[in-house]
Amino acid sequence: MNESEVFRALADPTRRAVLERLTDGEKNATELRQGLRIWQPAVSQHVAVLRGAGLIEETRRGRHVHYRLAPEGLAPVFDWLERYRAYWPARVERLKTLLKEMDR
Amino acid sequence: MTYVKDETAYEIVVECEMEAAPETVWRALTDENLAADWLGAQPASEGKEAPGSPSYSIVEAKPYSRVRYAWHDPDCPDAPPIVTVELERLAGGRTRFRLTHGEAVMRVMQTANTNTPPLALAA
Repeated sequence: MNESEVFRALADPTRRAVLERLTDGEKNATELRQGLRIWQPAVSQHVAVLRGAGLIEETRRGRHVHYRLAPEGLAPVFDWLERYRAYWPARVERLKTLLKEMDR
Repeated sequence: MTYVKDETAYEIVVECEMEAAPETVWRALTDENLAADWLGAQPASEGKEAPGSPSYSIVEAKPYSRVRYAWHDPDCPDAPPIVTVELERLAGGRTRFRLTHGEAVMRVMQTANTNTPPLALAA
């Protein structure tokens, strides 16, 4: 799995919506489609991208394919979030100090 | 007051009010030395990336209102590559400041993709 693939996969709002629909548990293709208001082939395409990025997994049971989140696939996102959630507030504090210095 | 908005997991937003006019904030955002100072990053134009230190370059500058930085962090190379700062003039020589890392680039990518096949299809 390539990290940039993860961010690229998340760059699309429909794919983020697909992931959000899976946060409350496994769904089959029909359940996954409900509420997404897009064509079935488009859903399949988005699901393929998410699978390629390692963000969801599928299992086949009988005639149905079930999808679920692969939380470990989000690790690069969590790494970035953890780092920058601390980073930006600290940098903005530095900007405030800098603005005071510029005033003088 | 500074707070971090965290409604979706794919963006980081820091919003606050600055005790300075937009013109002053603007200078801090766009002057190479001042920006390097508060961003904690080297200007990418210098071409000498310090190991472990992020680098930035300005990709859009709309005076007193919006700056977009291209962002590269060698320790986090695949993180969203755009940081956006938006300013809004407030009464009393103050400025509303909003920094976004993540979601803005997603919007930019979608706009850039309207005339070309989505990047994601190659994934």
